[in-house]
Amino acid sequence: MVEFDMENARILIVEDEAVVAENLEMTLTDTGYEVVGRAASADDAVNAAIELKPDLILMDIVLIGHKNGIDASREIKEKIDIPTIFLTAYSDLDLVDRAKSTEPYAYIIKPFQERQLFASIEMTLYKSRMARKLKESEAKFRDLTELLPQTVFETDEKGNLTFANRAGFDYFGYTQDDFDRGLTALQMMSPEDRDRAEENIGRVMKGEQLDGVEYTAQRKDGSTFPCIIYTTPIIRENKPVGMRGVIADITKRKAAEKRIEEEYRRAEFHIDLMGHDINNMNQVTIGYLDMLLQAPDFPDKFRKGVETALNHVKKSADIIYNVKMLSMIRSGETKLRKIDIYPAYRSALKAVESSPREIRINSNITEGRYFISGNAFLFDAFLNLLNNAVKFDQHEIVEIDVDISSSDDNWRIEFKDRGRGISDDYKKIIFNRMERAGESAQGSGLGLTIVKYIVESYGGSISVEDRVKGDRTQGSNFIVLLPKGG
Amino acid sequence: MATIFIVDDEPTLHELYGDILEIGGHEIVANAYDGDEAVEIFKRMSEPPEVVIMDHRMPGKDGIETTKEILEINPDIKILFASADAAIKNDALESGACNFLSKPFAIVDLLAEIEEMLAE
Repeated sequence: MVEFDMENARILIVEDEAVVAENLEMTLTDTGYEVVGRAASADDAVNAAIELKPDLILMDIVLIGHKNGIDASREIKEKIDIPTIFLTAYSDLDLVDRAKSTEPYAYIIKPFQERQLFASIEMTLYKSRMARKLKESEAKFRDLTELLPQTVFETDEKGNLTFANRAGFDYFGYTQDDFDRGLTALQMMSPEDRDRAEENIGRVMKGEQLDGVEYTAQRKDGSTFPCIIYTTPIIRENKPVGMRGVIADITKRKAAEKRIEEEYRRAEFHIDLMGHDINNMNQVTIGYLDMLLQAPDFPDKFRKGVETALNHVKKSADIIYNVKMLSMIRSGETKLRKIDIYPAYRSALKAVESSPREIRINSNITEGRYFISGNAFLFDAFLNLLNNAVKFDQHEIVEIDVDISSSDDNWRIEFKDRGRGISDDYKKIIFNRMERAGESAQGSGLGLTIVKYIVESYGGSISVEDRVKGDRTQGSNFIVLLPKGG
Repeated sequence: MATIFIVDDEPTLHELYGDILEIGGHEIVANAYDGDEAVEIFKRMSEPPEVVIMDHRMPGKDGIETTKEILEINPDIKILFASADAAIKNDALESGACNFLSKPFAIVDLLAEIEEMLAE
């Protein structure tokens, strides 16, 4: 017995000669197939096929009655898809030619070897399973494609549309008739986008995949909508023969973006207006307070109060300056260029040293050695860090170390203070004043948030740890990493 | 002691300038409250001022435009920009202003700036 690795396939035998049928059944059963039925006429064969739904039909060409096996096969085919192997005498071969119209899987010329029969059955079952899987997979993709709310399309290598899903027809307003008469991918684009689209189609046809290119699409009626298109080449035998893609309508997204943009502009406008006008008021207040303090006959007992008032007006001006700076950084209006770290550091140092407290700053930053890609705001970053260090140091003499060193592609700048330190919980949120908006951010101004924004706008980062590991009361170490370069 | 022409749309600031400049011993010879008025007054002045203090954001013509027009009439005029728009510093200097003060400034800054301009 020949061994075949087979499932228990269920087979229907259609054969008018009882002896032949009997032998066939025995052979098949011995081999492990299940013979689910036998039919001798075409009509019986059709009924049995429908009733028993076998996996395979072995069909003799010559049958009892006026219809032959080919007629039977055709009738079965109309009702149910079952693979069929024709068994034919050599003299009936011309009939088999006719049978091609019923898409036979195979035929065997009688007499045949068992081995031939089994090979044919297995091959036919295999092909049938593959064909079914392919059909299922096709159905799956067809269903998904039709369900998708986005346009799905295919074109040939010239850009003529060869397929569009239902959403495609809906979106673009074309009918099946229009499609059958011929439509091109370029026709779906607004005229001003066609050159660019053509160029991109060229790239796809060279095998490139294009993810998310925005266009203005044009409907049949001439109206347009913004869209984003994803395309990939259709490759056959290693050659692009067309493209397929997805078109998503981004009208809503565009509208939302526009609204955000408008809100943003409005907020900017208000910040700007308010900042400008308040600063004019501040100018008057600062001017007159300043003048009072400088008057030769100003009474000493009021001096402290007026100085405090003056300082606070200056602080309000600082807040406006900082908010404006933040909004400039966030809007991306600031341009970067190669700068030396030293002058910004030196200016910040001077500003801090003008404070009435005694301040000692130890630093190894020198001129002409440390360059980054930055801008004038580097001064503000340093000033905020130094001010911060001074503010929280309760000692009579303020001492700060500013160390710069090379760390891979970055300059690592450490600002070590001897302040009261920062709890681990607070370390996590200290740079995120903006994200904490709404909370009462007591005591902490925008300073460190600004430093973070400036540093990040240069592609750098900032973090904080204890100056002395494990002992937060010894002060903090703010570590700034800035990419080298320029 | 210098003769000074104040251009600013905020009347209180004119008063403040007056009081500060008095401390420095300077004399305000003219006041204008917008750019057009500034150019008109400047044209009519028989003796040009030694220093013009120029605001930026004003109704009509802004400070930069006004600076350009005044310098076209008399390229030797020294103009000190004083504005709450720190971001326009570069544009102000490019338009021909000698220096830029960011509002709010301290009295000493303004007086020092004027002394410096007169010394040049």
